[in-house]
Amino acid sequence: MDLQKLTKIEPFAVGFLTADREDRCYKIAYALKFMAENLELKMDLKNWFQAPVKSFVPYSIGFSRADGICVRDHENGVITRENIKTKKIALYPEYEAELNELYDVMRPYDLWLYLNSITSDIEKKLDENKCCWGRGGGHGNPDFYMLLRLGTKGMREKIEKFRFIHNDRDDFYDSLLLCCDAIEIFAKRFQEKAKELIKTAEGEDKVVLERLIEAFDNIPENSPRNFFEAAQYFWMAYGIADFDSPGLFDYFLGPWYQNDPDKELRYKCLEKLWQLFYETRSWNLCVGGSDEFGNDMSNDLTYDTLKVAREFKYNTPNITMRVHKNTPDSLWHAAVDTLATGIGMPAIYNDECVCTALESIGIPPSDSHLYCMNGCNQIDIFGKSHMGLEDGEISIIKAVEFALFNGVCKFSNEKLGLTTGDAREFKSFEEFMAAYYKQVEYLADTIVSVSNRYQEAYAKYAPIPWRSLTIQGCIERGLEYKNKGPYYGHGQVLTEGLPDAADSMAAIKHYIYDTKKYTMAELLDALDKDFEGYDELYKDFKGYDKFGNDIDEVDDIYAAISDHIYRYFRTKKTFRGGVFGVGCSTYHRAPNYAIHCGALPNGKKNNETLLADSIGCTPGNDKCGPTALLNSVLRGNQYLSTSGNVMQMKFNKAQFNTDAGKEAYIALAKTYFRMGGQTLQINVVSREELLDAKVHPEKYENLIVRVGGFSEYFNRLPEPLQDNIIARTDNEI
Amino acid sequence: MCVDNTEGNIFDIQRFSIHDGPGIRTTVFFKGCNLKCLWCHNPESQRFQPVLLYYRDKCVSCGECAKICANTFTESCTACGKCVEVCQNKARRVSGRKETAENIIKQVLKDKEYYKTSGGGVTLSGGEPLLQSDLCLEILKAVKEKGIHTAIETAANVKWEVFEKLLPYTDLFLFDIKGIDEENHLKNTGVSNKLILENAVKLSQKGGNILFRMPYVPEFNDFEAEAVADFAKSLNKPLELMAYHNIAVGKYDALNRLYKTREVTPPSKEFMKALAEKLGAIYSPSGV
Repeated sequence: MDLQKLTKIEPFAVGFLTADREDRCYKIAYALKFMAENLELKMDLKNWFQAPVKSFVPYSIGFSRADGICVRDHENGVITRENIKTKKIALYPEYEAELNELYDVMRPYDLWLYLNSITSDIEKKLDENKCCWGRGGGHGNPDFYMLLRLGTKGMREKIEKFRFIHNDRDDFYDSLLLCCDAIEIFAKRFQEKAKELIKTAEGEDKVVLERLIEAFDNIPENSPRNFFEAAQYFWMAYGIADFDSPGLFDYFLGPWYQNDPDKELRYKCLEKLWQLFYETRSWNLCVGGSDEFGNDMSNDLTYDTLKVAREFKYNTPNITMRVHKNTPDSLWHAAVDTLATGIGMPAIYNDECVCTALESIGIPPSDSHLYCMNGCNQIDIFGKSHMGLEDGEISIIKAVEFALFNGVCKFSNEKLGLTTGDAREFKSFEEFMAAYYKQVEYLADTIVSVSNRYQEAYAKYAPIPWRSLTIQGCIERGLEYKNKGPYYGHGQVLTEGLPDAADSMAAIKHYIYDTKKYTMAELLDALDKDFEGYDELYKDFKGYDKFGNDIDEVDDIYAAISDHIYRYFRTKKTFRGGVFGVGCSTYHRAPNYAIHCGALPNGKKNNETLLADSIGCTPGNDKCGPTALLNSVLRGNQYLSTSGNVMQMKFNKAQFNTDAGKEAYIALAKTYFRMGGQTLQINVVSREELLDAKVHPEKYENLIVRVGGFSEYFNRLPEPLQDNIIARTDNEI
Repeated sequence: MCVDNTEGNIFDIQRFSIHDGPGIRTTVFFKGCNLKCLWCHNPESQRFQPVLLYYRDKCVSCGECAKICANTFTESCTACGKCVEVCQNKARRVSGRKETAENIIKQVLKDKEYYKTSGGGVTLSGGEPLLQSDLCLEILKAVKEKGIHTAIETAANVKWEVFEKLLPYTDLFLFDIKGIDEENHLKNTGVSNKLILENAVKLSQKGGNILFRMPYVPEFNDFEAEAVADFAKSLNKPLELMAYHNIAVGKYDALNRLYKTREVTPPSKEFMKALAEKLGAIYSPSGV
C-alpha cells in the first residue's frame, strides 16, 4: 500500500503505521506529531485563537479521548465505525483501493474489537436490560497550569529528570517528547501561516495576526507573557486534549488574567474563548473555591467568567462554581444573577462536603481542594487524576425487582439476577430487605468486575500520550495515563432510582408487613398485571408517602439503602489503583432505566418513564416545597459521595428574579451546604417547561405560584392565567 | 369564633415562603376571616369550615362523585371530602382542616436551619389568624422560644386585647390597611375600619414592629393610596404597596362564587414603582 498518497487525507493513520517503533503509546504520539507536520492548517481569525481541530480531515481514522484509536467523524464528533468508510470514499473516490486497504489494516487496532469480547453473555444482558453496566474510559482534566507555567521547555526538562529515574521506559518518555514536538510544530506552522496571511490582511484580522505572530515567538516553549498568549496556549493544548473539560479555569488562567494591564483586551479574549467553548461543545468549566487553608481562590476571571456566561447565555460548557464558608457575597450574587438568566448554571458545589469526601478516600487536603468537575458533573482532581468518569451505572430499582421476582428481569423475562427465594415466602420486611441487599451487591460486583476488565483493556490498547504528558503522576511514575500513571485512580459509579426504590420499600413495609392490608402474592400479581384489576391496591401504593417530603418513615429507608450502596462500592478496588466511589447524576438517562423495569410498588406502571431526578425525588412527588425536599435528600450521607451527588431544583422565574427571591435562594443553598449537602443545581423554569406543565400536570405537581400571602399551585390555575405566567417568564430578563 | 387551646382551623402550611416577611419562612394559613374584601385572593379562607373547590376545566364528567354523594353540587355540601377521593382527574379538593398546635409547631420547626441562615421564621396568615388567637399564642410562644423570627399577617379587625396578648411574641406585624375612608371600607370589605385604625395607632404606641401593607386595587381603593401613606407616615411606620393581581380567579370559579374585581386590570410594574416612590412607600413586586 502506498501510504504516502494518503498523507493528506488520513494523516493520523499514516503516521501511526509509519512510526519507527512498535509500542502503541509511542505510535500514537508519533501519529500526533505526523499530523502536526502534515495537516493542511486552516486559521480561524474570527475567534482569534487557533487549534488544529478546524484542520482535521472529515471522516478519517483518528484518536478519541475515550476510545483510543477509532474510526471517527471529526466533523460531527460522532464515532461511526461502519458507515465512515463509504462516506470517506465518496469524498475521495480516486483513493478507493488505498482507503479500503487502510481501513483493513487499521481495523485490528480498534479498541472496541477487544471490548466486545471481554464481557460474558449474562453481563451483556444485564447491560442491555439496563440493570447495570461497567466501562473504563472517560474524561480527564489536563494540568494546563503546569503546561503554561513550564512551557514545553520546562516539560522537556521534567521528562528527562524522571527518565533518569525510570531508565527502562524510553518508549514512554519518547512518546511524551513527541507530544511536545507536536504542539511546537503546530505553533510554528500557525505562525508561518499567519506571516503569509498578514501580507494581504486588513483591519481586525491584521491586528489578530500580529498578535498571533508575536505570541508564537514565545509559546509554547515558554510561559505566556500576557493573557492573549495564555489563552492561545491553553486553546491549542486544550484542542489536542480533544476539547474535554477546561477544569479549574480561573485557577490556571487567573494569574495571567489578573496581571494583564489591558482590561479591555483580556475581556475580549475571554469572549472569544467563550465562543470557542460553545462551538466545540466543551464539557465542564469550574470556578471559585478555596485552598486547603480556607482562603478564597476567586479572582477577576471568576467574576468575568460568570459575566460572559450571562452575556452569551450558551448552554455549554457546564459551569460549576465551588463555594465555601469564605465565599464573598459578591460572588454569590454574581452566581445567582447568572442563574436568573435561565441557563441553569452555574451548578454550585460545596467544598466542605466534596473535599471531606475526597479526603476520606485518601486524597490529601492540598489536592482535594483542587477538585473540579468533568463531563456532566463528575468529580476529578485537576491535573492529577484519572477518576474514570462513568465506570459504571447501577439500577437500584432493578435490584428491587430482582428481590421481588427472585432474580427475574421483568423487561426481558429472563433470570438475570440471583436466586434469593420466593418473595411470597418472606416472613418479614427484614427478610425482603436481605434479598434486596444480596441482589444489589450482585449488581455492584458485576460492575466492579466488568469495569476493571475494561480499565485493563484501555490501558493495554488505548494509551493517551497527550494526557500522560499533562496529567501529573504519569511522568513522575513513568506510567501511562490509562495504566496507573495519574496520582489518583479512583473509580466512579452512578446510581439510578434510589428514591424510587425507597418509595417502593416503604409502601411494601407499610401495606404488606405492618398493616398487612395486602399479601406479597397479591402485590406480585398486581405488578405482573401492571395493576390491571387492582385499582385499590394501585391507589394505595401510588398514594403512599413518598421520598422528598421530609417524612421519616420513607426517608429512613432511603438513608439506609443509600448508605449501604455508597459504602459497599468503597470497599472495591479499581484497576487504576483506587477505590470505586459513588455518585448520582441521572439527567436524560433516567427514563430509559424506568422503561426497562416492570411495574413497581411505588406505583410506577410498566410503560411509565418517570424516575427520580438524580438524588432528588421522582418528579412531581415533592409536595411540601424545596426545604422539605432538601431535608429528605440530606438523609443520604453525602460525605460518602466522591462522584457528584447532583441535586436539581426548579423555580419559577418570575419569583426568582426579585431581590427577596435571590436572597432566599442564596440562604437555601447556604443552609443545605451547612447541613452537609454537596451540590445544588438551580433551574429557573423555562417557558418550554411551563408549556409542558400545561400538558403534563402530573410531572409538575410541585410547581407553586409563590406570591405573597397567596397559596396556589400552577396546575390549578385556569389556562388563561397559566398563559399569563408563561408570558411573564418569557419577558422578564 | 373560639377554638380550644390545641386545635384550630387552617387551610395550608406553606414552607419556603419568601414574600411573607424576611427570609425563608413557613406560612401557616388560618381559616376564617371577618372581612369580606371584594378582591380577596384566598376566598376559600373566608369561612371557618372546610370548603370544597371544584375545578370545572379538569372535570371529565365521569360521574363518580354523584354516585357517592347527593349533595355534591348543592348548598348542603359539608366538604366532607369523599368526592375528592373518587375524583379521577383531581378536579376537586377540600380546603380547610383541623390541626393541633403541636403538629403545626412540629411542621414549622422542620425548617429551623433555613430560618437561621436567612433570618426567616414563621408567618401566621390567613384568613385572619387573630380570630384564633389562642392557637396563635401557642405557636408563637413555642417558636419564639427557639429564637425564631415570628410574624403575623393581619387585617386587624379584632379586639385590642388580642394584640396585647400576642405582642410580646411577635417580631413583626404585616398590618393590612385597605383604606382610610370608612364608607368606602365598608363597601369594599363589609366592615368599618374604625377598630382597625385604632389598633394600628395603639400597636404603634406600644412599640409593635409594624409593616403596613396596602392592597392597591384600581377603581376600588386606588384613590386612597395617598391617605394611607399619610396615615403610615403619621405613625412613622413603613408602608408597602401591593398591586392587585387576578391570579385568584380560578379559585372563585372553583368555589362557584362571584369575583367582583375580576375585570380589574392589574396595574403595571412601572406604574406601581413610580407610585411607591412618589408616596415614599415600598413596592412589593410579588403583589397582593
